[in-house]
Amino acid sequence: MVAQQLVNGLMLGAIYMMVAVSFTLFFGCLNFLNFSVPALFMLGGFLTWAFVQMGMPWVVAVLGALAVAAVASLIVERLTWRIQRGGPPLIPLVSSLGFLILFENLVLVRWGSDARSIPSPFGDANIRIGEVVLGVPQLACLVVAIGLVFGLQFLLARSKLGRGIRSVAESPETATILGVEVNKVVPRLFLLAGLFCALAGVMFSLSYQLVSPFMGDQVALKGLAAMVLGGMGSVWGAVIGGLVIGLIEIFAISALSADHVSVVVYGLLLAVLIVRPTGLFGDAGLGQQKL
Amino acid sequence: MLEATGLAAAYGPVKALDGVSLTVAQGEVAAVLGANGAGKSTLLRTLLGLMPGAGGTVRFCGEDISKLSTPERVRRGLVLVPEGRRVLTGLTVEENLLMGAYPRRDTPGAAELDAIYGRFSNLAARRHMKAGVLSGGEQQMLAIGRAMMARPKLMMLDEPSLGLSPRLTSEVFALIAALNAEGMSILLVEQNALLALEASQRALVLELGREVVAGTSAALLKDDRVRGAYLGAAA
Repeated sequence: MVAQQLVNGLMLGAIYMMVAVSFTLFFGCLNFLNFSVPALFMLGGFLTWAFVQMGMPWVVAVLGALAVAAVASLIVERLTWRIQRGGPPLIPLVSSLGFLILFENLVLVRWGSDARSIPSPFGDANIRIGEVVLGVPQLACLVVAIGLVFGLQFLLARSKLGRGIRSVAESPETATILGVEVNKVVPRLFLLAGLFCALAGVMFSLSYQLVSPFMGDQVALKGLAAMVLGGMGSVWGAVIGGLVIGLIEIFAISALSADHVSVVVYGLLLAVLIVRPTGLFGDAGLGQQKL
Repeated sequence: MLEATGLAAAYGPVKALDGVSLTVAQGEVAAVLGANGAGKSTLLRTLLGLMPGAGGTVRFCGEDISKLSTPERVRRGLVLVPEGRRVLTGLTVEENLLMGAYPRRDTPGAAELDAIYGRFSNLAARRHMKAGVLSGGEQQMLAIGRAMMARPKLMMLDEPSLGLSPRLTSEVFALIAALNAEGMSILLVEQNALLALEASQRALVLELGREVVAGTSAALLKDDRVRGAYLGAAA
């Protein structure tokens, strides 16, 4: 029983982790709390359903949904980040909130507000190890999510683009002096972080087989909590924070009830922040190489 | 190599640079002198395209680069070692050096890094440490090494002796002389006028954003105004 919940918690946590990584990339590199993240999550999950509904094969539907989310993320970059940079720091935040509402309601207008159930491409496949049942889609998502985080780490730590991103995170002006085109690096970051949360949306829809125009809100709130818990701007913090919140949520459901989940999760977040206001791993952002 | 005419720049309503012209010939060390706030750093920033709304023309290697972005200018070989070093403190020493090569299309090889480490043995020992833990002198060496990784045609150094001990200052100037002897053209901004004039062939004195004296460094060393105002000699 405990082993089963541990597994379920990790699988749910993997989705929070992806969303938290997305938030933390924006925050750590650009000092930008990007509120369009829940919408990108939703676009990934919801459009996968919509495209499958239109008769596309699964792979095409997923790739199509990711492509739309990527374009949406680039639109946010152009219209909230780039043209409003240098102004009051709250403007991009509020503007990205506007895009959240816009994207959600565009989907609402086209497909309505009902939650839709999405068939699983994996059928009911699951694996049994002793008493523990592993759903194949959830397991695949967990493995892919962890692989992607390690891939992201490698990219940030070892590649030229990763060094460019970290130099922009530390000081856009110094980066410019070194010949980094900030206006080329930042869209790549939006692409990367946007795809991370859109993919989390795809994983969510495949794992839990339910999509709606507002599916991003609840999950992103937990993702945000995961980022804060781990320490804002720290990728490993987002990983740990996401997994911890997934585990707590599953254990809270079984020990108390689904109604108490929020109290436990956010109560714990509050308790951690009282002891460690910068979160578990948060002393410095990506620029200070907390990687 | 570098020919700038009629440079003008301002911070809001305050003119920082007003009609300054400057030439650096191939293989030469040129120096810009002046007191704090004379516009020396602004001059370098304008040459690199970092001052929005700046006026004047900058020609570099026969090409008008006045309208190019800063990264485009860096890619063409106009490289700045900024005031206060500005190393990336969260990146390691080696990553800082690799960042110097960022605008290049090719990937720097190990031999190239080794050449830098050969020159700066302190950096070699600290190659995997964060640049933030280096001393001021080491950071200055790192900033110069980083600029070298860009394969500059003209290296601009902004106050390289700032905050350094006399011994480290002379090390930095020996390095500048060595780089120049290897064929690198250098534009040096320096408050220490005597050092700068001794290290350079040509110099320009700025006061409140305007050019007051220009000429060969040898002539400026004998110029009464320069001697009185900057070299501490009685006019």
